[in-house]
Amino acid sequence: MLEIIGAVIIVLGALVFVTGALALLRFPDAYTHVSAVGTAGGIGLVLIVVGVLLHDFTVSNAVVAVLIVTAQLLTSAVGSMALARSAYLAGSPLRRVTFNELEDDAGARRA
Amino acid sequence: MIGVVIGIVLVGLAGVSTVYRMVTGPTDAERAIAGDMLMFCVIAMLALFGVLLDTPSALEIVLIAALLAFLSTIALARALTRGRR
Amino acid sequence: MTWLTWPVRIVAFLLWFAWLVVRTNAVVLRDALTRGQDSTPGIARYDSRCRTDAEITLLSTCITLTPGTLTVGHHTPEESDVGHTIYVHGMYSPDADHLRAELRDIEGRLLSAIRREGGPS
Repeated sequence: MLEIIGAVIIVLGALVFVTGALALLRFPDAYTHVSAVGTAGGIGLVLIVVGVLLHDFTVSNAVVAVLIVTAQLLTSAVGSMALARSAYLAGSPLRRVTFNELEDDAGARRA
Repeated sequence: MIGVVIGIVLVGLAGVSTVYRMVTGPTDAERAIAGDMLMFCVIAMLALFGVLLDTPSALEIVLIAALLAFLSTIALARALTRGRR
Repeated sequence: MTWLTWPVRIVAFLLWFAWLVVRTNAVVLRDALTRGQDSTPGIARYDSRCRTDAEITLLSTCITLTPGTLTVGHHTPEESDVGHTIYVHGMYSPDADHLRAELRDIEGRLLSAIRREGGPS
């Protein structure tokens, strides 16, 4: 029973990974890519780790899995934000943008 | 076990398309982001093969790899801006 | 006495956040699978109601973990520690005010969950 739930959760996590990879292929600019990768790395990897834990459930594995889930949710998001900030500072272009208040404010502060 | 095999296939496909984006990505930023995604794919593969091959300490390896992925992401972000903050 | 309900509120927020991730991930997956692009990306300014660094960090983390939205940067005036402003890149909002309304919803739920005394403002 535990293994079946684990298999379902692993497939869900793999689908999140596929979403991230498809977004990398299809979406236009660096910021949409970072958004997809942050989700795939955070949520997808956490789901896969929980599924792996359910396949082989022991107390020591559960402790390590809790550590992985906490660390991964925090570090994946923080890493994505750092990459997005660096991409902006390196002048990566925004494509098909409909509104951009960061550029407005940065221009106002420079002036 | 069939769920683990499906997961390995899907994550493998995600890794292959990530490598394609890494080769063709028009700017440095997109290559760095693809590199980050590739690291996550490798970590997911480690966890899944740990179940498939019945490795005793797969989750510990995943923990170390996840922390290393954060360091590599920060290093890539720093390299993108050429060391400026 | 509201601190008695604190763990319940945290669990309720986590469940709501999981449901939000499922919904938005379905939107992103459908856009990536179907032909063409129907995203309207943009960056919006959001003046948050967070009071401490920990709260603004948790809010940015939640925004980044949600598919389709991403925190790009933040700005805090030097003289005080209130008035954190973050800049959020959103993919499926027709204009900046729509994105701000979504962020306000997430922030209100997060703050009333993590603050022991409760209440977003």
